Amino acid sequence: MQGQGQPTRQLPEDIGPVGQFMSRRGLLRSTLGGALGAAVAAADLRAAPAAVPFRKLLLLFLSGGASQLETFDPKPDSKYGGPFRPIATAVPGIQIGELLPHTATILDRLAVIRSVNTGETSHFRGHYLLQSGRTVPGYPVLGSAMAQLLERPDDELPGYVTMRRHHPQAYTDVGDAGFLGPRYEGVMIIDGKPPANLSRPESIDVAAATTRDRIRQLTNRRFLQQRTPRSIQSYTDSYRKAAALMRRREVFDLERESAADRARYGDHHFGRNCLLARRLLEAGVHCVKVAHHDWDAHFENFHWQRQRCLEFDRTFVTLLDDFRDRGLLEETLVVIMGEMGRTPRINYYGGRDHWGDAWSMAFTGCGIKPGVVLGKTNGLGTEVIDGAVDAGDLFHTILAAMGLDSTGNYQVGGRDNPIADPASSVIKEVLA
Amino acid sequence: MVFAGAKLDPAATRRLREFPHETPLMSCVVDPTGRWCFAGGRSRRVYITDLNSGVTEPLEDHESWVVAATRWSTAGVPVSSPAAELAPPPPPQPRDVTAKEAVPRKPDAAAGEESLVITGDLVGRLICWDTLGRWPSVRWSIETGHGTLRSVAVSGDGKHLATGGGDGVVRLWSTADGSPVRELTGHTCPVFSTAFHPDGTHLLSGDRGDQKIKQWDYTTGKPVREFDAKDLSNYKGGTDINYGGVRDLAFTLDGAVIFCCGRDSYGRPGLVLQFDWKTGKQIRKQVSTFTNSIFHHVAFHPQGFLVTAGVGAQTGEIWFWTPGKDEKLASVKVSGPAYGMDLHPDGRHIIVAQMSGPRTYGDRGMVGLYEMPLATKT
Repeated sequence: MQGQGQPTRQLPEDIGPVGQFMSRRGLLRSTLGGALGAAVAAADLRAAPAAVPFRKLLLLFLSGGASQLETFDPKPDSKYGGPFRPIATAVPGIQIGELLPHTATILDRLAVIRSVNTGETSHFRGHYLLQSGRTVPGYPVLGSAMAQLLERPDDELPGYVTMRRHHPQAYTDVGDAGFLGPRYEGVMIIDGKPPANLSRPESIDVAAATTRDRIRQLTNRRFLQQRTPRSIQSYTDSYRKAAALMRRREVFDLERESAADRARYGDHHFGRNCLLARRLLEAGVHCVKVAHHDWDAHFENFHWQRQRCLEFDRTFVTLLDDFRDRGLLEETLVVIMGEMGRTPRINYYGGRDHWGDAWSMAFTGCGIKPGVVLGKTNGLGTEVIDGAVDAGDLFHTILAAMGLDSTGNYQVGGRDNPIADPASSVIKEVLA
Repeated sequence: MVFAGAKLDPAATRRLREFPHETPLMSCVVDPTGRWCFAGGRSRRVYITDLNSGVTEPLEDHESWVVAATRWSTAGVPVSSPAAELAPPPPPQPRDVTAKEAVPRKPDAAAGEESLVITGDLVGRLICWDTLGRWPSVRWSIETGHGTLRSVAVSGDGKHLATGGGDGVVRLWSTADGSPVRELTGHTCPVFSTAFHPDGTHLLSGDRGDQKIKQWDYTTGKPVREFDAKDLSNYKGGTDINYGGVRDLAFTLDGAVIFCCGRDSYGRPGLVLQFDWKTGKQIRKQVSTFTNSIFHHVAFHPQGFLVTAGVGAQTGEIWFWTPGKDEKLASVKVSGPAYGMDLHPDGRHIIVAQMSGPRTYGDRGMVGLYEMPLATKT
């Protein structure tokens, strides 16, 4: 089945010679161009514009692992159910946890899967698995895949922007572009700070900056005379995107939003990042990932989940309402996911630990059938008893909702490499 | 009220008996008469144990986990101590659960006596129990409507009840009927502890995130000052959560010293802080050697020592302290993580609400009854 008769996305045949560019890459990494990722030699991977769906992806990544029992799959009558009550939702007969009262009112706009079984309980592996649909390392995560698969010749901004809080552990950064190369790695926004050096230094006037760029272009042309155009293309792309970011630096400026709008999103990292995500998606970024820290509640889970839900719930619904009002929802897929769920059993510290066997996630937006609640777990919430899906299925489904053929292939070194795991498949029940 | 009684020897504290429960326990209180132990935990039930007979009845009157409990009585209510030997359970069942006393029982106005227990849960249900009858009964039950309750306290005159909870607002209620009196706003994070000062005017509340103890004039609702309990902070930037918090508050009998407890850092031991009421300054920090622990409760014994209880790595301990010394007076291991603790009103016993069960995931509970023997003359 692999690759037979399926569309192919060509990838660099020539991942190297990386070594000869290392010094330039090092230089680039200390600059804005480096922040974008100095691409290794790459073929022109862009498909014909007409074939690329005009869609966007927003990943709301509940990092650390949200508790499914306190969110989308409450078990009020179970001894593991926890202290909080279920509440009715906009979908008749469906209840979710009372910590998500705003989400409950718009559940008819979401598709919820209560039967995710990834079996993965490591933060690092889980982050990679859920974003790449693979256990084998080296594959691109969703954001990078979108940056490549949705790339258009007239793209100005980077295809993938990822946001998180500063955290030395930073397991949110696991993976990234994989074999797609640095060209498709995400631009990292940490603590809401835009990439460095977006503004021209005051010590360099416009004329000097123009002269410098002209010299750079001349040097590039001379360099190009001795090498294949492909070898230098990634650097050209980086500079082009860096220049675009400098021109569009206002996108990162939340002060341009009214105080009332900033308040609606919430005065916390997640709220500010969601507002920035909306601005970036509106400006043309193909995929934004917002990591919401930190749901890893081994200690006093119920205090912790409540605090996190307080941040998530209102901000999420505010974001969706804005997407709807601005017409973004028709072209944007919003995915609420994490790297795992949490144990139904409660430990001595009142915490829930890592659990990958039965947990929940949700979708809304383009390509999604709203109001669907798929799958079922047993009474204790320990096992999936109906509709089990794995990370590969989720990856296929996200691509399908984005209007992409998840059975297509990347071409790496002349060989087909499936974009999504061929052993998994699309979850048709949640697709429109 | 806790009686001072004859001189005790806390260092010789011993376990008198244990009452196993089906649910991991998180709170407990002995009613003012000394007969009934109320315990709650990871269920909607309040487990009421007759300390004379050992009979326990689970009452499913709450709507969520019962994590807060306190008591109050008029002066002069007679106090009984737990019997050295349990009496046989009295037939028939102590309470007909099919005929709940839906109509609040009026206190005996002629005698003027009241004996109350108040319990609170994590979705905001507050229940006032009358304990003067043949079996405790519900005097009133209200849905506070503001989310999680974490602490309850009753004013010395018994007129007001204070609650602290998830929304950071301290609320005053009428103890008579549970009607709201006023709200005290100013905390920016959940309130985990409340205590009325013996002066009859002031109330303290301690929070979970900022480690602030706020002093209020509860008769007017106005804030008075703050005590900075930053030594109870344990903020982890990576997880953006504070593991610390002011978990409990207590006073000396004259109100001159404030005690609060919690932990100072993740993986470090529980501790007690002391503040001088007059100056507002921290005057002592008593750090335990109880590994990886957090003290959830602190109480001042009329004989002049402190009793704290807490949770370690799947363990529980009671610690005794002399207010004027950094070092402990004594400590006693209990049979499981001690989330709840109360001094029996007879002054000689300590009740501990514990968790028990398999390693890592406790799925049962235990009320431990501990006795502080009389000091022997040397």
